[in-house]
Amino acid sequence: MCTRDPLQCILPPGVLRRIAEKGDDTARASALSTLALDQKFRLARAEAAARVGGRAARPVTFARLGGQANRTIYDQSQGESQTPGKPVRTEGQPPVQDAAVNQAYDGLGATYSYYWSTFQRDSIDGQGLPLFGLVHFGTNYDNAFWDNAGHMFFGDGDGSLLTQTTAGIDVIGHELTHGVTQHESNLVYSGQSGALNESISDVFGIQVKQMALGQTAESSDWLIGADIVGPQLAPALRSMKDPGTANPHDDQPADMDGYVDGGDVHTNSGIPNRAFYLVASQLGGKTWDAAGAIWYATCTDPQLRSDASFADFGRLTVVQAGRRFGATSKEVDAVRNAWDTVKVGL
Amino acid sequence: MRITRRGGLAGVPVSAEVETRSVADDAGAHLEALVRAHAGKPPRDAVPPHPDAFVYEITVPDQSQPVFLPESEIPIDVRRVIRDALAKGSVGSRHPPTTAEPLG
Repeated sequence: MCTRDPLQCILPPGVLRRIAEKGDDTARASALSTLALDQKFRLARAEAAARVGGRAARPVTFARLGGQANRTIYDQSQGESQTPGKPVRTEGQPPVQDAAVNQAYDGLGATYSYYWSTFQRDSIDGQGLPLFGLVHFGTNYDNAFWDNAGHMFFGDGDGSLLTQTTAGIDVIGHELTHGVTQHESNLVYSGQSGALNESISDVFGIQVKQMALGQTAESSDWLIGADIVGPQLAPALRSMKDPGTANPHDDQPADMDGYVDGGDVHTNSGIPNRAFYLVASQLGGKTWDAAGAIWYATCTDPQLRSDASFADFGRLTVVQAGRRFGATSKEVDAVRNAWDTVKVGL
Repeated sequence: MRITRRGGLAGVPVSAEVETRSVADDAGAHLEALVRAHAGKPPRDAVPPHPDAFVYEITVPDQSQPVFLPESEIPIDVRRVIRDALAKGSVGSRHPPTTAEPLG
């Protein structure tokens, strides 16, 4: 007699998601478990690739059409365990009473939509990776992070440095982009490659915010974290337009004259952040049409090494701008001018 | 001992003094033992396990070099002691760690 759980058989993720949404308690738990298992296999492949310093192998999974996020939000109830807590909202379910849950759900969705509608990238890994948001992590926890294992954690903030981190749609885009980087160039998180890793997250985080708010390069405030800062860090964590001016403690340099040797990755990221802002503002309009597209092509270029310097990255942006828009295009000029302005010699 | 929390999404360091012997339960002793166990290890060992993770720089008066600990290596009861101290701490600049090794 067959005693297998039918949900552990080969079922497309879409079917499993529908069961998770509409099945009875037993079927729902089993479907969620199977979706999580699929996630583990994906991560095992990615981690195996990361250990040998290469790019994450493209997982062989069910053929997907893409275009549909697969979100699950868990309530960590102020605990610090990194095991997902109680599932409180899954894909397609209506809003709940807890605003943090809904903000996390919407922010994950906005980030998925940005990557799909702009680059036809199906989630973090390009293969439909489920998006797990874990809210109310820790007590007064002043942070939000991507754990390199498929989860985004959200602290509630202490009210002084940070407030509820789910409120920052750019922050959610920032953190999930760390996952994209993990699956692409896997930039080493120290030195210039670490600052690039941070900058790339700001670059795509601000675009997620701009797209969600219907903003252009001209109308954007180019501020990161404006919706999650408490009084000590107001008005924002970082300014991509004017690094070093976002709050009274902001010491980001705006060009290589201020580069801090051995500095924090969040410090020197101001330099490539400003380069991106300069390209986007010079070209104008929707940021993702040109500047964002050039940066995305660079981030997914196999030539981008995990230990890339600012100059390595900058040279690749010129190459990608030329491929996409032509070697004598205004886009190439904008990219060259931006890196020149921030004093990164190509 | 003096504790500086670095990294996190904000990337803003926060520092505070902790008098471990005044901590009511065993967490203070646990913190002291943790620092002793990591004394002398190169800061490279404290590279964050993931982006935007917190890393703690702990300076003990009788040791010349600070100890660097990723948050994931700190037991939850010790994290509580540190968190309570840092709640009354001060925000600093993102100057490089004293051993000149970049930390996230």
